[in-house]
Amino acid sequence: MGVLVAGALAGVPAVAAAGESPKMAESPKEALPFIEDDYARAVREATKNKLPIFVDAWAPW
Amino acid sequence: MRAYVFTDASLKKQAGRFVWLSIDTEKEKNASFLAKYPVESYPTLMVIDPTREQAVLRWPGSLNAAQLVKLLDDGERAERGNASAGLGALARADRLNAEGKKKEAAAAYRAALPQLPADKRPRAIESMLAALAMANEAGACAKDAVELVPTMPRGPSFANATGTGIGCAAELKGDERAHAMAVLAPLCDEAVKLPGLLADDRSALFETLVDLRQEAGDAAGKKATAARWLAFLEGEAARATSPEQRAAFDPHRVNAALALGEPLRAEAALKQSEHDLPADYNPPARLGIIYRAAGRFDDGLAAVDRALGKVYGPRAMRLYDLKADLQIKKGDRAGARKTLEKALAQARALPVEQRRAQSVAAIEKKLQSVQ
Repeated sequence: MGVLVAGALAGVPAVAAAGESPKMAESPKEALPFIEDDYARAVREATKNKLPIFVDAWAPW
Repeated sequence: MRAYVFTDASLKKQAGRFVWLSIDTEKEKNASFLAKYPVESYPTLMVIDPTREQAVLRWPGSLNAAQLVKLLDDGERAERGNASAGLGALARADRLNAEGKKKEAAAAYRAALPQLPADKRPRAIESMLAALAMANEAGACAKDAVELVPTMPRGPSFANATGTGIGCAAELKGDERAHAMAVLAPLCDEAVKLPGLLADDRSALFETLVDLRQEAGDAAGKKATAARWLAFLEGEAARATSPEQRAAFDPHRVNAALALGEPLRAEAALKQSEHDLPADYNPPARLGIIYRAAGRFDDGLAAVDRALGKVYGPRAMRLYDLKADLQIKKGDRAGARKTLEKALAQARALPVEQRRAQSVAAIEKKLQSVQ
């Protein structure tokens, strides 16, 4: 991404209005095999496979 | 992170290094996780040692894919505890930070700095400042930021450290504050232009710049910065390749549109998101916010009611609060009272880990004001 200055950004198109957006892909697939909302299962799998657990603790807003 | 980073195909080769766990902190079923591993900012990334069930690394915020890979290396090191002197010192600081010992962690990061290879210093400085900020040590945070941030290589850690330092400086008063701001504010102008930042990090820098212009009483500068901010976000959103990616910009677009004084600039995007993501309560909730700012109270009430039909967890309190605001604006104080009483009842029923004292106090105060 280049340097951002007001002039350079002035021509950036605004997002299309509702119903006019270009066709988009389906929901993006995560590249990593996340277990959803199941800490106990993550601990079991990590212990069995002798791996640490990586957690993404997020909020939907 | 979920829309842009965890979908990055370059991360697939990291899959076998960890067990990957996603925790929606708003779900009641995750209250016991939050009791064990408290979360103060969103997202928070953690590495957990499954044997001791203890967090050994904690990262408050977003990262790009390349930074994430480096953090995974540090997480493994913190979990295994085998590292050279410098990296071992960083791992010890990370473990203290993960255990919530923020002040001790900040001191440990500081002690580790002279021993660290150059490519690890920026992340350590970033973590140190974040730990001080979260420990409410604004003075120490601003002082360290003034000393160290100007020396950092220009990149994502520099940008985030600048933002954290300014946040800490804003907590100070008098000469201490003025001195820190004089050093750090120009760095924010520099940081916002850097290539390679995550869009949400750049957006946060724009927001900081808007605040700085406002604080300086520079109304024209504030407006011009807000316009650049919103144009940047609209440009990024237009390049999104999925509804989730585009909607990730929605909260930023709302803030930028409000700062610009043109709340309805975000309306079309939010309507699009509501259409594309029908289960998501956020787009109608955000429509409620911009309609409140635009004085379209009936539209705001309709939007917030649609959001309340989908919301779960502690976020409902914010929506009830917004609804009560809209009712008050319309002169419906009895309706606002009912809404706020409902909010308090629901807040008290939440698991303690998900009950936000600040939100409850704000609702109680608002309820008193409409009695």
